[in-house]
Amino acid sequence: MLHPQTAFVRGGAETHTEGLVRALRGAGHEADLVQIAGKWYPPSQLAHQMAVWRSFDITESNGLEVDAVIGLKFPAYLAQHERKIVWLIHQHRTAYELWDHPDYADLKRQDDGAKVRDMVWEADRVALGEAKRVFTNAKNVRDRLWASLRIPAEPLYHPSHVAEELLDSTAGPLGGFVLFPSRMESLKRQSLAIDAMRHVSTGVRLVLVGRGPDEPKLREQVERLGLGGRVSFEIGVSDERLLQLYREALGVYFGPFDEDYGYVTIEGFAASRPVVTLSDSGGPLEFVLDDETGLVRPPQPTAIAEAFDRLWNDRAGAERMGAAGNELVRAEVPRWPEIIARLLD
Amino acid sequence: MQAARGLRRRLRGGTAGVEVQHGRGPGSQGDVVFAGPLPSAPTGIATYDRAVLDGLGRIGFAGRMDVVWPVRTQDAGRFPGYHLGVFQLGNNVEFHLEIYRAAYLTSALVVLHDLALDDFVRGLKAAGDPLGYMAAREAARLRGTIGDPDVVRNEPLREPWCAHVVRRARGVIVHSEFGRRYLQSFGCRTPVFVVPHPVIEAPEAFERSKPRARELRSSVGEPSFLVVAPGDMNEAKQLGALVRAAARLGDDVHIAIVGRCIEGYDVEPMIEAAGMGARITVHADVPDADFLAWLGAADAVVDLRFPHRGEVSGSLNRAMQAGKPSVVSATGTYLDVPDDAVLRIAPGEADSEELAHTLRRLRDDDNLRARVGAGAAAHIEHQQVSEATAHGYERAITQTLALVRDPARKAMAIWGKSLVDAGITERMVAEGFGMEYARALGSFEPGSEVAAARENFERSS
Repeated sequence: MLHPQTAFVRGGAETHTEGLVRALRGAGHEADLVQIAGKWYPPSQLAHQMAVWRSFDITESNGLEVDAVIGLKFPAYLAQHERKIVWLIHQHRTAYELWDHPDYADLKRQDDGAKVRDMVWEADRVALGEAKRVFTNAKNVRDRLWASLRIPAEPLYHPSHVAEELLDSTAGPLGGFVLFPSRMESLKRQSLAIDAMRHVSTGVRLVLVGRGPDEPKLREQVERLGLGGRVSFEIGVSDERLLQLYREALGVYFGPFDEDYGYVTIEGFAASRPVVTLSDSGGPLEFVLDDETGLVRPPQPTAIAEAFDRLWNDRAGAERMGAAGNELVRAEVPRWPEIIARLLD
Repeated sequence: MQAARGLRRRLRGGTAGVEVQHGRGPGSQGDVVFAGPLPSAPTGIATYDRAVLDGLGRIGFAGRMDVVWPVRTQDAGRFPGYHLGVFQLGNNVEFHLEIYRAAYLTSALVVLHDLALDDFVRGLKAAGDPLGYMAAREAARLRGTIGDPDVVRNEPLREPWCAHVVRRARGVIVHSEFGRRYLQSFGCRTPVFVVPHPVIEAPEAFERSKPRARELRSSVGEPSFLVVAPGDMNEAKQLGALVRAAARLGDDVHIAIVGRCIEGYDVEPMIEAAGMGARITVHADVPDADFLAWLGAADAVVDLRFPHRGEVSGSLNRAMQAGKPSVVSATGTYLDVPDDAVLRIAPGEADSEELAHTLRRLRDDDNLRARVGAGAAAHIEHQQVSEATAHGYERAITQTLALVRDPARKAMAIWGKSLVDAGITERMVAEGFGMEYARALGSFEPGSEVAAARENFERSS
């Protein structure tokens, strides 16, 4: 398993990687995680990381031949190996669909951004093109890859360990808060959810779970809007606490901008909770079907508030959607033994 | 703030089109800094710099460029904030010491006015500057690597005193193909741009100086043939040979030596010893207008070099612009002047008989004089009309800036430095150490498929 690790950053990529290593070992394979510290700015540093991974020899280790390598994330999958499998969680997005985005573009604003973008495209074209198999973690990621580089890929969902635990346990009664677990950064749009809380007309509360660079700004926003009694923060919670929060929530909210896949959706459904998402949230829309497994709303505070109020006022409907979501996840998201078999097929 | 104001001067369109803001704080500065003497600094490089900046202004150079002169020790901290510095380097410690130091702090495009920086490096050493010792060490290491007989003949060029600063630079501007060959002869891998020396004078300048030219010609007795030897008076100008040649020419020939006196060199005793006092006059440190008028008054110009330091003669350029037939040494940068624009004599120590013979030809052959003079004027006019210098600078700045900003090269620089730190030598690199990384970086150079894919992607999204 090849992984570019940014120090002090923990998110879906790390969960995915660790889950895969565990599953490979569980299936009887000798698997190890090879990490190289990564940093994606300034752009020349990105070029450096790309060259490091591309020139990295992983054909054997300590005299033992390496049978296969699996890369999930840019630029780790640039490494060369006879049997390279890519399970893409996303491309380097600011070189692709976020290049021009008014809020999330960063590469474009750098002096050498355009040159690095070209390098990223060329590197992806070669490295993904030479891979023996290319999977993506969601249809959304597959579609982006096809739209940009015209490289076909096969979507392959997977559960997080939290989702697995929830699937293996019984759902409790619905509580009184909407749970929003995610890294606190602009793409996840916690700010929009906080704004929405100004417009709710019921007693519903919002619990933000995670950590990240936006935390101080979000706390300041809650303070400024006088929402301290309705919005609370839980920073760096343990898995046990996260499981408890899922099990006690009224519903789950997950409204990032064009998310790749999104564990939160799967975990919410695994806990039999309805999931509220937004019409531009990307990956979650592969599971959240409006009024069937959750609620899909436009990215506007009032619309989100209306969805939160609806869960509060229509508990039976919330329960129904949560149960439907749970069934959908069980049907659509394979468990690890099946995933390993497909990956190494 | 006062110091910051003093740091930059405003050069306006008309005299100079590159506009420089006063006292801008860090972060608001231009991409490029230009550091070199400006008028009224008593060096030819000052007029050169002004001409370059004027030319860049005329062609509408689009880069944001700050011009710094004088460069002072306390300005050092400002230079690394620029993406690129254009540094004018000559052989004079007085004018170029701080510029040379600044070139070490900044991604530099250095302009070599002398290929031999021997006096400069010695001056650096005398000032106890470590850069002087580094430059001297590198020059010594490369001594003997240059086999070109035209270089070997000229002692100051044998040891590449400029090698250290050139190796550190991201680009080098020289003024002749000879300069490029010289740098490459000792293994320079820094990109070299050959940019012609700017045309200093406005086209009408010589017309304006005609009355003064008549006065000057009259002041030396209205000779039927007036030869002017312009520029700094020093050993390399071979003025001794010119004095001896004069003795071989008739009484109707007058020689005027016009230019800056250089300390430690005196031509007068040679003239007296040859008994040529009446036919050779020395006009030292004349105003610029008179310098121009002397060139205008001349029937022929002599501009010899031995030893040659690889410089391009600004005086020769002016003489050619005035349409004067010039006699030059067949060496170094002089070989890059078109054959129909000058007359050449053998390189090395000038042979006074050959020089006298060449001057006699010019005196006696009106057609030859007119033809060579017209060739010279046409050559300079072409450079002037085509704005060859300004476009050359623009190309050099743009390409070096792109190089400096190239993320792949930045990454390669980090890698290269790491290899050096790890003790990897050039020989080991030649054997393949670290080359996987370089090859990987090279493989990211986008091909046409990427351009097509991106275009398609942008259209669809």
